[in-house]
Amino acid sequence: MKFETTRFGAIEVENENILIFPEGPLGFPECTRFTLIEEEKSHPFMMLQSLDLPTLAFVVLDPLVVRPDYHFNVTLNDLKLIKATETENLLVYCIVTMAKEIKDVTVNLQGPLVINPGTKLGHQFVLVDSDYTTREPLLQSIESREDNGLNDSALEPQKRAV
Amino acid sequence: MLILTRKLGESITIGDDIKIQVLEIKGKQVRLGIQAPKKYSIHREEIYQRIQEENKLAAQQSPLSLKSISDIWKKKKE
Repeated sequence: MKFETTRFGAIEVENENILIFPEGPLGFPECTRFTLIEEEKSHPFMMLQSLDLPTLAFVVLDPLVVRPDYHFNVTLNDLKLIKATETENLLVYCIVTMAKEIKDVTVNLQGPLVINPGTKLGHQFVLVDSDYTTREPLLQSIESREDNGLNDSALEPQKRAV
Repeated sequence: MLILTRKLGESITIGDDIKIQVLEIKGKQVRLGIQAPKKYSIHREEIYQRIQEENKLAAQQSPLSLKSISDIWKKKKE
């Protein structure tokens, strides 16, 4: 199928690459169809392009890239939303909020997008009892990770923004 | 908005299947117990709103190109 997008022009998307977010990402209930666009030059960042609203595209990345210990709990009921019975094969992406300067770019670790590749269904989870915030500085996460080797659990407390 | 006054331990019900009980009152904080069918997701409003606002912010066209941030990323990784 062909779709118009602001950033990528007209794109051809195979049915199997259409992801359905039945409730839409929070704040965008009318945007239910997306596709993931991955370009080598932008690695590890990808674009989650809306197929309903040409102007809407989120920059996303695999949270494990910034936080190798990233994890959260889900209930079976949460999983029902994406018709999954186990977490094993699920894909998790976090939305990046860009800014004028790179130092101000943040990652939303509190509202991960979870996709079931089997059903192509996705849902934005809300981590209620979590220390992750919606605005984790991206570069700081990389830098602190380098300082501490791979163990960044020590930097959790001061990261509670808001 | 319907406004009700409740004492400690008292409840309100919504429909047949939702019950909200005042469990504890401590200074300016109130602890509520909520019984509802699993099909309803229950969020603290501010978290829900925060994520919604962040999504709206993230959806804006970026002044930075993805490639420029990706380049910096790669450099840092080296």
